[in-house]
Amino acid sequence: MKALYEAYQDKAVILIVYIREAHPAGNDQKAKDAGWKAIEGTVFVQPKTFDARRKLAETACTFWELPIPTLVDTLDPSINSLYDAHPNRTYLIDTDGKIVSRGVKGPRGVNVHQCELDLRKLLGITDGELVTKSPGSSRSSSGRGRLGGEKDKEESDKPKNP
Amino acid sequence: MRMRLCIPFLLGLTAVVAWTATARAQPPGGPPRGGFTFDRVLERHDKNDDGKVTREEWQGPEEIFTRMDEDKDGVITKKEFESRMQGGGGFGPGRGRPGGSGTAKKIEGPSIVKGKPAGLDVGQYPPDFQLQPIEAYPKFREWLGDAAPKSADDKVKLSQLVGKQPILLLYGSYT
Repeated sequence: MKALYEAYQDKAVILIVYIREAHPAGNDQKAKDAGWKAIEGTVFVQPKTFDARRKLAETACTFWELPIPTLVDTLDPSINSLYDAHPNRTYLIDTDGKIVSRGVKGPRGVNVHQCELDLRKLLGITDGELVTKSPGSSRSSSGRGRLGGEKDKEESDKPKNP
Repeated sequence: MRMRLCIPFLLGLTAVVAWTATARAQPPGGPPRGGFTFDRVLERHDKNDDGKVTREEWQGPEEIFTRMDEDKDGVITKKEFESRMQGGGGFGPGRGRPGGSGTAKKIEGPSIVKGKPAGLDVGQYPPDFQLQPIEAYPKFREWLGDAAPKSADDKVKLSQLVGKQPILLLYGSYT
C-alpha cells in the first residue's frame, strides 16, 4: 500500500478509510495477552466510540509508517456498511466520478497489485516498473486482510491467526 | 364386473395420492439448496449450543460469516440465515470478479456526482460521504485547496475530490 501511494500520489487521490476491526481483541484482553492484536499498550478491541476508533487508526498508521491520508469511519451510520467494504475492499473511481474497479472483499480478495494495474490503465501509464508484485499462487497475497499487509515487496511476519 | 374395473382404478388413484403426499413432504420451495440448513450450521459451529453462531465460533470463510451476519453484530441467528436463504442470496464466497456483480441492496442517499443515483457497481457513481481524517494531512491542501480540513475535527467530503484525478479508496483496519 505504502509503495503504491508513494509511486502514484501525484497522479491520483489515494485514501484509506479506516473501518471496524475485522478481528478485534476481546474487550477484556490486556496488551500482554493480545498478541499481534496490540501495538505497544494499545489493544485493538472493537471500539465503542469514534474517538476510540480514531486512536486505533492513528496507532496502526503510525506503526506501519503509512503516509496515506486516512479517514476514520463513523460507528453508526457507517460508511463501511454503505460501501459493503468489511473487512477490506478497494474502489477505484475515475475523474467523472464513476467506479471503474471494485475489488473483491477481503481478506483474501484484496489485491494491491490489481489496484496498481487498474490505476495504471486508468491513467494511461504503459511504461515504468510496477511497485507491487502479483500475489501469484503464494499464500501471502499482497495485502492480506490488514491495511499494512505485506510491505508490498517484503513478507509479513505477523501470524495469520493469533 | 364393476368390481374388476374398480380395483385397477382404485390402485391407480392410490398411487397418485401417494405420489402427491411425497411431493408435499418437501418444504415449500423444495429442500434447502444443497442440503444447507441452519441445523447443519449449528452442528458444525455452535460450540456452546446456544442456538447461534458467533464470529469466534465460526470456522468457515470470513466472507461467508460476514454475508450471513445481516445486522453486523458478530452473531448469526436462525432468522438471519433464513432471511438470507429466502432472499436467494446464497453464501457463495464471491469468487470473483474484480469489479463485482450487482449488489442486492438499494443505496440510499446522494452519489458523489450531483443528480446521479448512487450505486456500487462498476459504471455507477458511489455514495457520497463526509468523514474526519486522523489529522489535517498536507495532501488535502493539494487536493482541496481552501476546502481542505484545517484540523482532525473538520470533515472531508468525497464528492469534493472528484474531477482532477482518479480516486482510490482503500477500506480496512489493523486487524
